Amino acid sequence: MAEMVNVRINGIETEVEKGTTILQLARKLNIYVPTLCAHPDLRQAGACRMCVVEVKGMRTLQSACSFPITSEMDIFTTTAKVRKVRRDILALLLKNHVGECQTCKRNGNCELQRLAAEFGLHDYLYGKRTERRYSVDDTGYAIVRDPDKCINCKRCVRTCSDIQAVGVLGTLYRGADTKVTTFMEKNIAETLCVNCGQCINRCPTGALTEKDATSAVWEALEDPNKHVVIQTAPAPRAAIGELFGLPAGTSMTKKMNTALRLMGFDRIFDTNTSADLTIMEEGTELLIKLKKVYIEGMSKDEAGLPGITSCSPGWIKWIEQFYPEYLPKLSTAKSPQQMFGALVKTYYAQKMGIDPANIVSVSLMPCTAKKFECERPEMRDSGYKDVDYVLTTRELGAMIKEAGIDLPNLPESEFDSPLGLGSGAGLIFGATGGVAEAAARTIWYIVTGENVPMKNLEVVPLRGFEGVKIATLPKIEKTAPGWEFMKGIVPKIAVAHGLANAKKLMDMLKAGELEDVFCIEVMACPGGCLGGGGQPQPTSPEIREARMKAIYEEDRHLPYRQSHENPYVHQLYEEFLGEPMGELSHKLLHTHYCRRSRRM
Amino acid sequence: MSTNELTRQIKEEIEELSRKRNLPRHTLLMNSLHRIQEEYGYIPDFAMQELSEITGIAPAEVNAYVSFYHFFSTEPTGRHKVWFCRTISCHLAGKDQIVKAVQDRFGVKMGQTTPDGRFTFAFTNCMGMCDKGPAMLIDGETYTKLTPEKVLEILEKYE
Repeated sequence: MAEMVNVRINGIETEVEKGTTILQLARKLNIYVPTLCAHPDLRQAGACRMCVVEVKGMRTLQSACSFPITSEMDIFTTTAKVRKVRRDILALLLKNHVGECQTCKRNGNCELQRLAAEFGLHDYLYGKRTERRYSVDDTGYAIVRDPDKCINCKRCVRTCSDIQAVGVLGTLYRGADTKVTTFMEKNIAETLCVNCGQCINRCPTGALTEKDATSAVWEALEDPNKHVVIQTAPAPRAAIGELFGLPAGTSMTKKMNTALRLMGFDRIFDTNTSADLTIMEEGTELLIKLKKVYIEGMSKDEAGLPGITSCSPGWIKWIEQFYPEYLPKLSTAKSPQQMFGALVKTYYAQKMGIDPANIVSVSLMPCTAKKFECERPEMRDSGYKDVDYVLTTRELGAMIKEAGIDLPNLPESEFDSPLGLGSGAGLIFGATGGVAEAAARTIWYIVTGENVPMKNLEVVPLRGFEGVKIATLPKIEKTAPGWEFMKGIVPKIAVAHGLANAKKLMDMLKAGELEDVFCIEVMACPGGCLGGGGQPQPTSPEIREARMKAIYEEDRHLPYRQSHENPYVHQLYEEFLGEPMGELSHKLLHTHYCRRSRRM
Repeated sequence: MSTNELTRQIKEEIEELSRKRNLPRHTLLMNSLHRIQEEYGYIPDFAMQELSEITGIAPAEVNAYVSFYHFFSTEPTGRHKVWFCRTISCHLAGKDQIVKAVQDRFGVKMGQTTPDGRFTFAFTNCMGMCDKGPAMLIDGETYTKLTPEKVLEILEKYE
């Protein structure tokens, strides 16, 4: 039984568990305390002091976020002293915050701006710096840093180290010289940054943003000689509504299709189609590995087991840098985005009789690392750049607004064919555990000839936000012809999301603790793609939960729920690709990885 | 020191430290950083990265420690590092004349290294020698009650 302490907050008598912070107590009682550096995903920092409160008998104000209640106390959150100090802190932050709200990407969605409005700051109490001290770092493929807008809250620092186990952002120097910057103040392109964009999601201001692709896409849309196609990933649909004032988890798939048509895209396709292809290729690859072990007697390690998923480009760069010895276990299957890109400029171009040189291939992704992925030199198997531009959910939202389109009130419309039909399995790629679940549905069917024995095909043990999940599927009792060697096997699948969790999993693998695991799914971002670095700000466990529900709900109502049922996938193999892991598939749908130095 | 790797001995010492249980991370970092600076005269970029690899502490956090503490340097320094106290007592006791004498004699300013690589001169804040100012620190050794003549005499002893 936890020890309880009596407290009074703004005169309300209550009891809390010893160790509860003042901020936690206030939130529980719906008492508003302004915060900047506090974030529900991050450990406390006590860096900004916005949350100061008065505690009776204490000479100085205390920061609510980092003050654990250990004895009886009397707390006040609305006194004149509190109000004045908070105003001063805010005014001091604004003094050093160089940047013009009207031309900032965070205009209207900036925590500093919102607080200034809340406090009714109509003047810069301590003046305002107008000259830049630093330059903007846009050397990377995905992340742009504008240190002049930084308020040293260290959310990005904590994100980079604690959530993503990358650790290239840090707080250097001390006192008034303190600044958040990269290791040895290197350009972001020279660092180990994996482009995941999680720092952007948690930045309260416009100091961290994604590299802009909107101008290039508008230009393509305005060029009459270009045929502009867009593929849309599953996660943005569950989140883009947030940019238009709708609650998290509002599914916008069909309204978004209409918006994209109004913006001038020539074809609107579904990345879920190629997600289904990914499952066919990755699943076949895994089954080949299993055959090598159980029929040919190869060791699991030699055969490349456990197979590791390769859809998440932040994860790919991370493992290339930190665990390159495990690259042979990565599936060579490209991510759905890149499979799609390779098909658009080959299969689709041929089918439509369009010169691939005139096709502009755009993708809508919840992800900033996809901007890096499409620039990888390996991603030109069509003979052209397979994906020309990647738009994040946020960027598309901005474009829709710029075009004067009222997304929430649009009529619904469908995807175009032939690359516009995806199964529910492709859709759930958007949530952590989703790729593993999609693979489980199809592999189970191939091996046993029956559907996976789960209610509504929902492989529940793979779902949810636990950092590392190791799911055990039912024992395989009955097999289809040719798969007898799988009889009696109990398949195990491991799932991690967020790279610090991936690190835990990799260390378990290294320690030999995952001997009986067949495959490992890793998504770089917390919650999977639905929590991607290109998704609307803010982010929190509740917001991600709502998006996850939207994705699973949509899956439940789709006509096809399993990748191998998708008729377009069959058509693609029949008309064009041949067979999974076949020669053309190999050329267009598979890739290779490179060992990257850990040194910056 | 053109190599891009820590010497085996230092590596082993750091590994040994990081195996110690219950050693607070700042102790681990500070002890390792002091050891590296002692060996190389400064903390090279690669050393921070290697320290991060061995200890599992983020490279940016290692860098944060190095940039926070005044006595760590990320640039190569002279064979002897000379710190002059710039805080008020030493200032009132005549630190400006001391510094002028040194700058005139060696032709470099505070924060710079002599062309022959013999000295790096820099200011530091209070060293706790307020009653015996002006004070200076050479390679960890304190010298107090300096005069322009005395300081040059002392420096001559360092090759």
